[in-house]
Amino acid sequence: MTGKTLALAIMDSPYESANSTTALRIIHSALSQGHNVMVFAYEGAVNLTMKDQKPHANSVKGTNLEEENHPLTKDWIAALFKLAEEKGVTLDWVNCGLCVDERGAGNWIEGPRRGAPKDFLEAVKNSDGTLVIPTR
Amino acid sequence: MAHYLILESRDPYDSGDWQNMQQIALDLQSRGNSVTLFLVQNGVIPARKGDRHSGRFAELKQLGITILADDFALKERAIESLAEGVNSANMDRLVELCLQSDTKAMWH
Repeated sequence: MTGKTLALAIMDSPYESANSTTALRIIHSALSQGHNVMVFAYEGAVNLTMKDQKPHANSVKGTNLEEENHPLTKDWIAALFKLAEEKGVTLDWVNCGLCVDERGAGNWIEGPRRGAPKDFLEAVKNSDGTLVIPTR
Repeated sequence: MAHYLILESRDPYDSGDWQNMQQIALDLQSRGNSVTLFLVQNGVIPARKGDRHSGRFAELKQLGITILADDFALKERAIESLAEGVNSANMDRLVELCLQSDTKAMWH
């Protein structure tokens, strides 16, 4: 692969903003095109990869667990790691360590690693493009 | 000269900054930079043909600014007819623009 590298910083917690979905779509597209992606998950975004996320039924709609098929961000991100492996590119997902500690969000799926803002700085220096998606 | 990629996720009905971002795009363009305005999420709402703000895009286009709208966001909002000056684009195009040399991406 001779792909480029995209550095992406995200901050939104799961299930609160369309920013999360857009960010995951950007990562999916970059990986699909054979590019490497470095993600720096800051603040509430460290919860995107939490292993303890669970789907639920929806009593308002009257759907059970299977019918509701509730999406979990941890599963989407696990799929992105799988895609990166299939494409032979790197998805380097860094969860901000202090943000993780503040939120007790240290139990995450296989793939992400603990880091700090300096990791994003290094990624920006070494990347071909950078995008920061802030909270509102 | 740089290429500025402005990702607009907000709409004028929700954000008072919407017009300010348009002005930033114009200022960057007038200083010799190339500018792409990429509408995502609710940012595509004023791109609906007939929207009271849609004429703004034709003006920006005439001044040399490229305006693209996320096809997924358009489908989510059942927007089929686009304002003059706006073209539909997908995430692949957005990633290409992000990785284009000398591109500075700004999210709003």
